[in-house]
Amino acid sequence: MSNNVAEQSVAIKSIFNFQFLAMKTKLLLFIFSVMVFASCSTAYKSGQTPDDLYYSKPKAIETSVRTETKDEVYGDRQIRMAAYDARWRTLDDRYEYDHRYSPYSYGYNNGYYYNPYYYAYPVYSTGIKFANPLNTTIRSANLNTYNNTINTYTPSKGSGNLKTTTVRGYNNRNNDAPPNNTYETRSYENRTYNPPVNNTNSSNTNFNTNTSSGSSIARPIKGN
Amino acid sequence: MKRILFFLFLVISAKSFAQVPEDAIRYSWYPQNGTARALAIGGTIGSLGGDITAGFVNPAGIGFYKTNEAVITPGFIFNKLNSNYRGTEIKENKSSFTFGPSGVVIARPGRYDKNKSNAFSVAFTQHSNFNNVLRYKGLNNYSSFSEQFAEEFSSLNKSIDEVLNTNSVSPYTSAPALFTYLIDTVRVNNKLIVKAAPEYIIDAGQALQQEMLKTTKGGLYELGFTCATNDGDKWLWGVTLGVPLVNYESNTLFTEKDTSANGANHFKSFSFNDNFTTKGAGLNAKLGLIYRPKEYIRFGLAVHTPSYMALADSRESSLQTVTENPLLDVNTTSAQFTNGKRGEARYIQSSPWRALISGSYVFREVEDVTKQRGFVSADIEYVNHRGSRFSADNEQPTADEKVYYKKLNDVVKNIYKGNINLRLGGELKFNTIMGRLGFGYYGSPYKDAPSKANKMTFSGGLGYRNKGFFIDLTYVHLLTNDFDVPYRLEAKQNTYAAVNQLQSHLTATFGVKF
Repeated sequence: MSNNVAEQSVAIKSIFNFQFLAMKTKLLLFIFSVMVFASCSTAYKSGQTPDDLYYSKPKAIETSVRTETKDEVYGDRQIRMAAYDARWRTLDDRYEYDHRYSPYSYGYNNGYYYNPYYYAYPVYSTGIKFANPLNTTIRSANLNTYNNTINTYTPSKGSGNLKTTTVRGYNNRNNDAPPNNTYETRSYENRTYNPPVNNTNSSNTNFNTNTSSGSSIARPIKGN
Repeated sequence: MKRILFFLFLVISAKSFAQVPEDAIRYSWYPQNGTARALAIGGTIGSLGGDITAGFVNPAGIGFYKTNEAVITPGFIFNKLNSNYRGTEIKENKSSFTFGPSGVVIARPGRYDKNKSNAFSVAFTQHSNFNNVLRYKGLNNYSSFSEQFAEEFSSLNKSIDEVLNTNSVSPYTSAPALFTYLIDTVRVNNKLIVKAAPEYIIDAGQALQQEMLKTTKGGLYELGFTCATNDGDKWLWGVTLGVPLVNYESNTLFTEKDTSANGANHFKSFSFNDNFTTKGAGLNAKLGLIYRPKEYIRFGLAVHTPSYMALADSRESSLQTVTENPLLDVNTTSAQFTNGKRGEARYIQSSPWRALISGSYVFREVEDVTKQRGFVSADIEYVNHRGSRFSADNEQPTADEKVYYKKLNDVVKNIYKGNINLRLGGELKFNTIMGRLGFGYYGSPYKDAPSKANKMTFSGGLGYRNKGFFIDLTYVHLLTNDFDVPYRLEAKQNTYAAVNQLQSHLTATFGVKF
């Protein structure tokens, strides 16, 4: 008993520590974000903060004298020279027939593996084997239970049960009255056991007649 | 679109055949989230603009930006929940972190026309916070949770052996129920029927003690890329391309116990644990327009397309049943019936479209912030909740999938309806300090609800703006009336818990102009 209490106490403490750590991480992240924001420089340090919701004017765009870089000067000169004489064009491999742009040349080693004309199989293999199939039958609902009508069954009278249909309501109150021969009204009409033909297995018996891709699982033996 | 979503998975397609109608409104019925300023005014940002929230409401509002801005919006939620299940009331608390729109807005004057300007924003937000605990319990002498398993197994038309299989057709519900003898076949009036052990208690006119503990985590997030144009402060229009991200985890523990002193009435207790996660991403678009007929007056119109989301579910359940006469204590997990691993299913879900009209009156729309005085604003939004749709994730669904999804979509159309959301709010501005109040009402999305269902927000906040920075603080009091149906039966009326939730949101927004 005391061991159980101790184990529970340790479990509660570890859960608490985990939650505390998770919260602490979020808090630190938040504080870090605020510090990053606080360190941001703003163009409006000395004035009012514009409020775009009401009205604001675009910030004046700074104009500066643009100076040409050495590369730009060289590039312009090369273009002019290339227009004058075709030989200048070969200085830049943009105008050259380059094997790198050849569709028959793929990557390293002339791209043997990457060239579909030579190697017509996928280069990479995922290596996934589907020996143990994934079960995909999840979270489906009995959609008849959402209908506004409900099928009920009256007690057996004369020739048998009478099926009636009523509008479905909600039941959220317990019946204080003693059962009124009730379970005569519960003929379990919608609960028939309908296994496929030649398989009328009832409890405690298992037949290996399943049709799915898996193998059958035996239930624990139920005593009397 | 469906093909694009299909490739979002980046994995080999698997058969999908799942989902329930309740999934439909999880991603559509939530109050408007926003920056602290937008929340304080009830979320009425539809025609106001000038706040990064506009990208998720009316993208045209981003067009009011003529300066650059970066914001972050952290928040905290205190959650109190009262439930009433068959006359028994229970209270539960849960707190969690949240966040609103956080991102950057870049504004640029028009290249050829000085009267025009453009603005772009990239923002990330949480639309809905799923961190919650729902607990209720009570006596029930009308129905049992296990009856749904009996109905399901009966309708499968399968033998016990076929269901008790390493790759079962019903591995989370019928298979564990059969394995642990929670349901079994018995002969009644010379007919072999499927009966759940707790039904012996109900048949004897006695009650079962039922308890539900549902813990949910995660959120619905969205990354929004907005582009807006302002034409002379008269006409503004904008577009947002949204990438909704879903991360939902649900863990349900449902227990039932025999309350009688009879030790030989076939049933003592069961405990069913159901865990599933839903993860995925999608695409949507928001189109917006704002018209300023006169200075001070703004009208807004926005339409949100459905979010087309490629989602993947992963599920596992466990069940422990103690039966009497003979006494047997058996437990199992669904992994036994799913080849030893969690089951997975993939599907496409589209959320409903929504449309919004709004109007505002802004006092003193001038550049000098010392002369700006305040505004009042209102939004009316229509959300077509019955428009959520589910479909298979593969290009060629099987006949079974087609039938199931058609029926599922029909049920969604039948049990949900379009609703109207109203939001009102205003601000008073005193130079650098601002005070705000807001109200929001979100109508019921259900066609036929057993109890009241709506959401109401009451909000208030303060803001301070100076020297290129701003900070806003907001408190939102969110009241939610809703209900929860723990299980549904074909042959009986459904029981439910009425749920009243009070959430206190504390939100702050920090922003900088650059």
